[in-house]
Amino acid sequence: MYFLIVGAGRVGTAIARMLLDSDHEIAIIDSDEARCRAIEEELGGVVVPGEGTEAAILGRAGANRADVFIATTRRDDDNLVACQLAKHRFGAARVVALVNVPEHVELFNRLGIDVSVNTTAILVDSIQEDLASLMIEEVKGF
Amino acid sequence: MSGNRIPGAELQSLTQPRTLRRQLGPDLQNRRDSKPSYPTAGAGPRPVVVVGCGRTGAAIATAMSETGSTVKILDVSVAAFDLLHTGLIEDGQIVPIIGDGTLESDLRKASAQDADILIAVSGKDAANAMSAQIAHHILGVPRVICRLSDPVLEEMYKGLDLTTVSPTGLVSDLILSAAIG
Repeated sequence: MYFLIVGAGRVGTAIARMLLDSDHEIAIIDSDEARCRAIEEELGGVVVPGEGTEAAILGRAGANRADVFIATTRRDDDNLVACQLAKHRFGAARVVALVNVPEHVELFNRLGIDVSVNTTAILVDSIQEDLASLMIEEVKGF
Repeated sequence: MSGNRIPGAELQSLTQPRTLRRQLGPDLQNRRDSKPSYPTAGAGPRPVVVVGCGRTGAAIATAMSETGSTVKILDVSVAAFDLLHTGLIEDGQIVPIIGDGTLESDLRKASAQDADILIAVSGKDAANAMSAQIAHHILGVPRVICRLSDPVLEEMYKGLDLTTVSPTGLVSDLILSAAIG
């Protein structure tokens, strides 16, 4: 099967590796040069540099023949638009989005997009918030 | 087209707040008069929510506040509100709110669920598309207008029942008519 992934961060890369190990065909879109280079070094010529919210880039990456389209960036708005383009403009058979803010799950589902909640990000954000409050308390203590 | 027209004059008239007011004023008035008969908390028209306080958002908020609506304007950066006239803020006609229009919780902070109209004009197409869809599908805002610079996105979202405005085509047409006309 052909999987098209947007976002070569931790989640996108992990998915890419797993799919390649299972002998699927993949491509990853990412706008960050450094990340693109890293992926290319590790996984070979599967990278399409650019924004996953631009139709031209999705076209270049063969979104129209994707069996599954997966948007994994840290921004829900980018994931949403990428998935909607893949679905409505390019006719990708199935679209999946990483959702970073749990309250957005309903919106994505209503718009016909399967979702997976980024629980790691939620946990990390929550810990960072706690740390920030702790530090404020310490500063106040001075 | 008149021979002594100043190039760019059409562009100017398009951005005159007064034109906007003339077009929108009566419409909002009718909406006020024909309100459905459920109890409302306060007097006056239901609020307008503008997402994004850049030049466009600020101009729209200003124009709409002059039609008598209360305008709540959302932006992630407090510096953005410098574009607003302090007089309108002091009078309470424009209420600046710090927040992210792509978060349902922040849209609710701006009472979007009670708004008559939500206008998404941040600098980012994806954010506008998301704000507009949250407003339309989740919050049930009756009128949602969304700016999309990318003509491909404009076409797609028009097909998905959003009211969209794409500056790209409009601006090219105006410039072409100034250059050629």
